[in-house]
Formats: sequence, structure tokens, C-alpha cells
Amino acid sequence: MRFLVVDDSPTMRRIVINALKTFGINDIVEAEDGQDALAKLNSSKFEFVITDWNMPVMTGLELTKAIRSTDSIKHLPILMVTTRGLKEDIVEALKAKVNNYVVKPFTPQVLKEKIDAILKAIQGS
Amino acid sequence: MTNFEQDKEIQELFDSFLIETEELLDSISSDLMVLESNAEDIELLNRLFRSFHTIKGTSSFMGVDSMASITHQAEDVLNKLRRSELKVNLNIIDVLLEVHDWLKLLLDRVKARNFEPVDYSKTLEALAKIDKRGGEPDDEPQKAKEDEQTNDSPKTQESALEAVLSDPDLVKKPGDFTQAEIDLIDDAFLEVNRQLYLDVIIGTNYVKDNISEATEKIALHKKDEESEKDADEKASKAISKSKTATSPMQALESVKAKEQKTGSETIRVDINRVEALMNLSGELVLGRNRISQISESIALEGKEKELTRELLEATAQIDFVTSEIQTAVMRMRMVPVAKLYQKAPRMIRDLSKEFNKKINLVVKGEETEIDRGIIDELNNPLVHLLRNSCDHGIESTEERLSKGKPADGTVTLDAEQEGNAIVLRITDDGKGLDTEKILDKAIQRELITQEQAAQMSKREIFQLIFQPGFSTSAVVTNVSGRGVGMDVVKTNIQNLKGIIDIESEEGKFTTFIIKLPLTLAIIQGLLVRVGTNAFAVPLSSVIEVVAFDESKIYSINHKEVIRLREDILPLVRMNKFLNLKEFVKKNNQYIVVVGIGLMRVGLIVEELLGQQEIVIKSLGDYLGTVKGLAGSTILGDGKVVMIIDVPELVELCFSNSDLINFVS
Repeated sequence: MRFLVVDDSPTMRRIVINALKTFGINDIVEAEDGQDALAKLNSSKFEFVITDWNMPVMTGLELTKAIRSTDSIKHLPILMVTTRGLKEDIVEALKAKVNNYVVKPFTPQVLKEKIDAILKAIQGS
Repeated sequence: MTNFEQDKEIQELFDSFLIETEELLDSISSDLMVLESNAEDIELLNRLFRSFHTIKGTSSFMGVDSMASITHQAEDVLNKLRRSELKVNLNIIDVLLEVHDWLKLLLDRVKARNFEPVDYSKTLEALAKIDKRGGEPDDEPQKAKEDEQTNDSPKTQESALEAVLSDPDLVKKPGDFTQAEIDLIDDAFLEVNRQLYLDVIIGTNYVKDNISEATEKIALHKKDEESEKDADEKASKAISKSKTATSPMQALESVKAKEQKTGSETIRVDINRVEALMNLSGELVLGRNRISQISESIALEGKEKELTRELLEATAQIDFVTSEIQTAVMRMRMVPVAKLYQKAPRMIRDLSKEFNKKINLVVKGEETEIDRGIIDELNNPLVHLLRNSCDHGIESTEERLSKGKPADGTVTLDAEQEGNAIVLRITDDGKGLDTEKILDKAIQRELITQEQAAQMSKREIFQLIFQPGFSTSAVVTNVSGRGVGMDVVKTNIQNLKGIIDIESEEGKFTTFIIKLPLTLAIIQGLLVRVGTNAFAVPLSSVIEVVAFDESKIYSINHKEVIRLREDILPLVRMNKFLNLKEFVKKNNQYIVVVGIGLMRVGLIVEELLGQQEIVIKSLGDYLGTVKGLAGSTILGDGKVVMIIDVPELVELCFSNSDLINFVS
């Protein structure tokens, strides 16, 4: 599985990547904002996107909308990882059709549960 | 993963957090300063918001709750500012600066592995006050946005998703979710997933694509090219799509951002690795020197002419490449002076408040690059000098007006590269230095005698303020001064192999000039022989070399001097200074004239050996600091040579130290 981890903070990317590595996921590419992520998605193939919400240039929400409206990648699983824990935020993410939502700070366990849930949903269909 | 690996990762994560947060705090500080005059700049507000936001996220992860909670409050205020629910005013900037200061303090404590909380309740209160004056969190624009999006959403929604989206209570009710609500939201996400992959069976087969991808990989080469072309098309499509999806402003910004990205891409490298590379390239220089020396002596022997020529060619090539590597590595360590100067606006602001003066700051040449190690050491001197300019330099508004000067004082920071040196200038357009006053004070403090005072040049008088014990303000103040004087500034600069000088005109200006080497590790040295030993004099402080005659030496005040053109040059006999034997031959000696600022001293040496690039090695703990020696280096022939510490020698000479020879 090839993962794209999108966050403007190198520290946050590292946290997510460290967690992913403990799950045995090692094929990971980093992007520092939505636009960088889009460019990377367009130049090679990914199976999973984990993205932050608040980023310069292009936010995670805009990235999600862009992915969902691009035919070739519109089914890409997207996990939103963000400090925005307000209910209205979650609803907005739902509308943008992220696959799931994790509020920071999270434990690696929660991250794994959410990833597994998404993968299960895909396989189930 | 083993425990060790895990520990290492945690350590790396921790370091990354420290570096990133420090950078963000720096940018917050400078952004807040600009915000004062650019209250409407939405991009600036967004950046500030993101900086706080990121600190909040990462610090909560690192378990530094004291940082996370105050950042959270600040983020709320910024959120309101950028949504125009609040207007930028001085009070808000002050409070946010306070938050910045707390965060900086907390970060410093975290660095020292101190996780105890601090009492910032006052700042929190101030934040809360600002917050209350703002509007309610659920404001009009937000709602409008949501409505818009509801229209976009597909009509095939099923129960859970519908329930979440249509239940206003669920969204608006304060507090945490109940378990039932969490389940509902989980179900809603499941719905989204199901909808997303519903058409997988029928249409564009994303998941299948991936599974079959592995098997297809074998037949790839040709296909790759195609898919690249494909990807390009997709990319342009995606970009045009994302452009139409967002506002024209955003599209413009994203284009701008892209341009910037291609301009200079950077990676983060552990400073220790650069340091290691630096050391290695230093060793490489030593090896290169050795090879050149050997090949030259082989060439002198004149045997095997063809081979020798080839050897010389190869050596020349290595010579060239080594120099290039050395420069490249050096450049890796270089950072713009902006990194040093960026703290100035905040300081000037605080200082103007403290001294109740209006002071403008002008910064020039911030893009000049300087060794990172030097920048770190320059922080304290800069703080001190700025403080000095604002306190003693710039006059009060009334005084300025009465002298016909503009009411607002100006402090200028300037930086430029001059050959192999970086020159920083800190100028204030204040009252200038009063030589009479300085002399009076120096005599009063018994730093100099009346007679000495009478003979001193303007520049020598200025240098007096760097003498230990000269500085008057022993009062500890809150901006920077910890009761240390200008002598500490000078010591700091000298430790960096730099020199500090002053230019001033009474009633007009004072400029502190700091001259620093580009890098600390490699210098050009002039090799000289004293007795049987060779010594290196840093070329940067060599003014000239003259041949002389013993008979031309006079003695004034028990000191040996020589007349050099119209100046009197004090002399140091290097053999005496270094406790070596008398020179064998009395004629054909040389004087190496070295200088710091305008102070000149002549070093008497027996022979000049040539110029060489030398890598400075410390003398090591067992030798410690030896007066007059800055370190050692290894020559091409493997010999160890001591490097003369010129600033120290000049100082010893002018302070009438016993270490310098007197005429008996």
C-alpha cells in the first residue's frame, strides 16, 4: 500500500509516518500542502491519503474536494487528521466526502482503527 | 521495532518539534510586528493563524499541554481576526506577543526537559477579554457556506448521513459527543464510504486497478511513458479544475506559491551531519596541501619529467575540486542575516516603549549570508548593541526637536559581504559619542591615566567603552541588559574571530561596525618562521609586511617602536614573546604589520614562508587557552604549526602587559 501523508508541519508528518511504520506501512510519500499533494497524486499512484485540514496554499478540505472531482482518483481513500474537533467541522468534512476523520492528538491505535475501517469499507463494496 | 530504534525516533521527533516550533515562533514574532501596520492583510492573518494552529497540534502531541492550551486561546482570537469578527488593535498585538513570549519560555523549558507548567493566567484572561468582544462563533458567512454545500451534496443520501447532516442539535450542541452520536457519525462516514465505492463494480474501477497493478508491472516500460503523458494531462486538468473550484484570489496565490517553490527547494538536514561534512572537507584541505607539497618537491627533483607533469596536473585538479567542495560545504552552513535581524523589530518596539522614545528601524542587506554558527553567537551582542543605541544613542523627542532633528529616531541595521568578511553595522542617528565624557569616565575609573588620555586618538578613545569596568548602567533591565557591559559584546565578537569598531560624530550618529570572517573553520594564513619554529598569522589581520633594519628601532615609554611612513608602530619581538631563542642573523628580518581596527602592531619575525589555507584546530583541553595563540593547524608536510591570536596580541601590546617585551 502506498500512502500519501499531507501536512504542512514536518513534525506532524513525522508523527503520522512513525505511527504508519509501526503498522508495517513503509511505502509513504510526504506532501506539504494540498497542491503539492495533488501534484504527487497526478504523477504517481497512491492507495491512501492522510491529510491535515489547515494548510497554506490549499487546505485538506479543498484537496478532498479536488480529489473527489477528479475521475482518475476520485475513489482514493482519504483520512482527515486535524485539530478541528468541532462538530460543524466534522460535518463539513463529511460533506466533502472524506472517508473518515481523526481529531488530534490521537493515539496510533485510533489511527489504525480508522484506517482499517476505511479499508474494510472499500473491500466490502 | 526495537526499543532502541523507537527511542531514536522519539528523540528525532522531539528535535524536529523543537526546531519547527522555534521557526514558527520566529515567524509569529515578525508577522505580529508587520501586522501592526498591515491590519487588513488577510494572508498575514492566515499565516499567523496557521502558525499557532500548528504549534497547538504538535505540542498537544508532544504532551506539552501548557503550550497547547495557551496556543488554543490565541488561535481563537486569530480565527476571529481573519474572519473579520475582530479588528486588529495594539492591545491584541500586545497580548499575542505576550503569548509568543510565553511559548518561547515554555519551549526553552521543554528543551531543558522541564515540563512544569508556568502561570500565564493573566495572559489567558487578557485573551479571554479580547475573545468576548468578538462575535459568536457561529456567524453568518459560515452558515452561508454550509448552505451552499448542502445544495451540492448528492440526493442519494441514506439515513445516518442524512441524520448527521440534518440534525442541527447534533452540530450546535456544545460539549463532547455522546456514544450514540459517535456511533451515528461513524455510520455517517460508513455511508460516505459506501457511496464512494458503490460504483466501483460498475464504473471506473479504482480498487481493481490497484490489485491488478502489481501483475501488470512487468510489462511496464512503454506504458510508463504513456502514463506519464497521461499524468501530465491529468495534472493540467486537475489544476484547471482546482482553479475553478476556488476563488480567483486563491488561484492566483497558488500559482504564486508554485513559483516560489520552484525558486528554491530546501531539505532539512541535521546540523551534525553538515558539521561532520565540514570537518571532513577540512581534513580534505589538509590532505590536498600535503599532496601539493609532495608533488612540488618531486617536481623540484626533476626526475621522470612526464610522470611529474601528470602528477602536477592531477594535483591541480584535486586542488580545484577541493576548493569547490569546501565552498559548497561552507555555503550549506550559511543562513541569511535576516535570521539574526528578524528579532530586531520586536526589540525596537519594546525598547521604544521602555525609554518612551519614538524609534524607527531600518533593515538593509538581510539577504547577506553568514555562517550559522556565527549567527547564533551574534544574538546577544546584537541585543546589547540595539539596547545601547536606543538607550544612550537616540535622544528624547524634545531634545531631538530642539536640535532640529526629526522627532523619531532611527536605528539602522545593515549587512554586507566585503571580500572574505561579513560586515554588520548598527547605526543610530542619536547624539553620538562624546570623547571628553568617555575620557573623564575612563580616568575616573582608573582605566587610563591623564597622560595616556592626552595621547589617545579618537578611535582609541571609542575603544575604551569596550573595556571591562567602563559600562555604567549596572541596573538590570527587562529587555536585554543583565548588567553586562560592552566588554562582553567585544569578547563575544572576538571569540568569533571578529572585530568591533566604532564610528561616530557628535550630535549626529554612532555606528558599531562588526567585521566577521565568513566561516570559523578555514582561514588564509601567512606562515612565518621564528627561530626554528613556523607560525601562522591569519591573513585577514595582516596589513602589510616590511623588511627593516635593527638600527631603525627606537624606544618610547620603554617600548620598542619603528617609524613606518608617518606613523609610529609598536613592535613585538616574536621570539621573546614566545620564549624562543634570539634570532641567529640580525639582518634581513621582517616586520609583519597586523591590525585590529585602527590599532597596528608590528611582529618581528625571521623569515616569511608563504601563504596557505589553514584549518583551525583547537589546542585541546590539555593545553587550554594559551595567551597569544588561537589554535593550531597541520601543514602539508605533516608539521603542527601554532596560529597567532592577533586580537589578543594587539590587546596585550596596548595594555602594557608584561608578556610583551620591554627594553631594559
